[in-house]
Amino acid sequence: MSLVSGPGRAGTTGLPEELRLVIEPHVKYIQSLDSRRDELEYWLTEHLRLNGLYWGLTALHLLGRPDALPRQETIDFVLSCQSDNGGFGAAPGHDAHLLSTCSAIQILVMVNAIDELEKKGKGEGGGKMGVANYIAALQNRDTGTFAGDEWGEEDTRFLYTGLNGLSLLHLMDLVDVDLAVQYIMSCANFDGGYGVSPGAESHSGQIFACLAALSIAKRLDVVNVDKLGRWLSERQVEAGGLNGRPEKLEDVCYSWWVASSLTMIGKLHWIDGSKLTQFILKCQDPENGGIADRPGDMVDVFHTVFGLAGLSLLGHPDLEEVDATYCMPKRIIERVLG
Amino acid sequence: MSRALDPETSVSVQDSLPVEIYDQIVAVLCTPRDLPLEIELLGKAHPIPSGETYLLEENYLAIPKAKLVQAFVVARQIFSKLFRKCSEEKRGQLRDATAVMLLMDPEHLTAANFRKSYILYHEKGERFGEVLSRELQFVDTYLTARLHRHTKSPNLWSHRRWLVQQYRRAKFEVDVKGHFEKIVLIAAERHPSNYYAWSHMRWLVDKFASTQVFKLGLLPVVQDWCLRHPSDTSGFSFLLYCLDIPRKPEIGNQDVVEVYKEILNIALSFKWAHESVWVFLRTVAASVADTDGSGLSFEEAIDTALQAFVHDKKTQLTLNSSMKWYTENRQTVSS
Repeated sequence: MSLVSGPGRAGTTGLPEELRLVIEPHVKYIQSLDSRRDELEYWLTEHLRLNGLYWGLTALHLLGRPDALPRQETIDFVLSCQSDNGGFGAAPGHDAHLLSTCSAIQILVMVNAIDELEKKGKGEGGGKMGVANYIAALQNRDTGTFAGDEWGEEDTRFLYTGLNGLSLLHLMDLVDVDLAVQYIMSCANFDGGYGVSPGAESHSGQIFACLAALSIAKRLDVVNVDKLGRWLSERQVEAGGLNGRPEKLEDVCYSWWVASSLTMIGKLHWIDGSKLTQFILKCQDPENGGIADRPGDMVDVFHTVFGLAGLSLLGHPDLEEVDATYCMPKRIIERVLG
Repeated sequence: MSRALDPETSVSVQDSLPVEIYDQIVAVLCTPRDLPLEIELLGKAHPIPSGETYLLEENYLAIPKAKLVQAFVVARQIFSKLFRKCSEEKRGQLRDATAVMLLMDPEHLTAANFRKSYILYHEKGERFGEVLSRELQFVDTYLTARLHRHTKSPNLWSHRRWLVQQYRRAKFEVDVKGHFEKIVLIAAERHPSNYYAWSHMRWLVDKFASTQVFKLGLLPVVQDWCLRHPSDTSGFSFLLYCLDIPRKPEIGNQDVVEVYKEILNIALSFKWAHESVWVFLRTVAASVADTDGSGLSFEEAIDTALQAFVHDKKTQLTLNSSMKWYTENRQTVSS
């Protein structure tokens, strides 16, 4: 797959050609992902198929092409990933987990098919309750955090995805939100950041999870925004991209984790938005579509959605607005949450 | 962190199933050993004699990626066939398939979960201790291998944590220092800034040795590792964790100041520009009293360091940023 190289020509927007956001190639790239079932890579990524569908669908929405994937097939596939316990696995027959369950709910909301979940959903109580009960049972009622599945691993990412899913289903009252907020507060580090659990290393991805969970709980007031804002603004490297921790390489996905975090605490202007925009655009494959972690590498759907979401946060005119808490189209979040 | 496969390794699943390759790889992976395997995957640039599936010298195992791919295809088909409809006799077969699947794809959650069920199946048996230790050897082999994705795999580290919990439930001993030196530090070495490896270590200490960091002699090991890996932010972050006075009753202010002094002196002598080092130093300086009184004020240290980097804008930025952060965040701690 060829990526950007060489000097560009000035385009109609005044930017060199390679620094413009392409649309159709990204759409075609995402549409092609499910059609490669004879390729090894398709089976190697089975463990995240449902997450991949969420990433692809969100990207298409941001590109203004929400109908580019077949709707009924999407719904049927999502529902086929549900286990009897109400949770969703990454693919049919795979074990349920909170991460894929959250993706399932987000996809169904985006294609406006929660009614189909109500009709055909499994789990205790069926429908929305079936999924919600699965999620609620994963909260640690002593500490407030969430396990990812029955095997018990706890991580603030699971806390976020738990609240994300429940809030979209309007069933947050099934869990102890105050306790969850207290848990996140106990994860605040001296450097202002948050990690996987109390006392853990600060990490941009975990920071996003904690802030987004606080945002859903309407408790962003507990954050030391100046301290955290400074730590996050230090993620921008000279070339304009963002990294996730000190001294790490820049990576397009941090354009989302860091930029959305800054947005949630009102400090997006603490980074150089235009430099970041240029970095993300350089990571595109303008011919075959898709975005890579950094210029020159191979593209994948994970970096595609987070690159686009980052551009949307920065106000790119050719993209739909993204919601910083949910990483879903703002329009849809407003419709669902009012 | 691109998840895509390079074209050289792409293989069509329409190819005939190389069951023999699968059987051979299972035989070498799943046989119990005294010494754990050290596994490496070989690319096209390192061909092995034709007809061979892998190279094995003592406990060093090298498998061509193309062979592993073929074995994975078989493993996945066995898994699909047997999973959720597995008779007792076939459990072992299914477990062998998961070993190959996880070697190819360490994030395969369902494969790892099956292995947990397999362990629990033996919980009441006499061989439980043996089963547990074999499984720990299995996951540790992958976590310490020269395999970029495995050493930082959240799925494998989570599996390890669950196993250690089973050790504890069965009242077997957990040698925290041993786990640290033989597994965590190796994985940390193989994959720089290894978030999951160091998170695992924090969990081990919190669960089994929270008041024994000093007693077990962990601190000098950590400090030494950091000094040999000054660009590793996770190592320094863990060192900070060990020096976190409110959470570590063994540690006193003077202990922290001593570590600070040593590292600061080395940073200045070697003219280290590493952001990881200066983030560590500024955090310690801001959170602990009396670093000024130790004769090595952070402000003076920054001034000295800046002089060494007169023409290096990037490092100047790091240093000035650190100074600013320190000024904004320093606490007055009553000693």
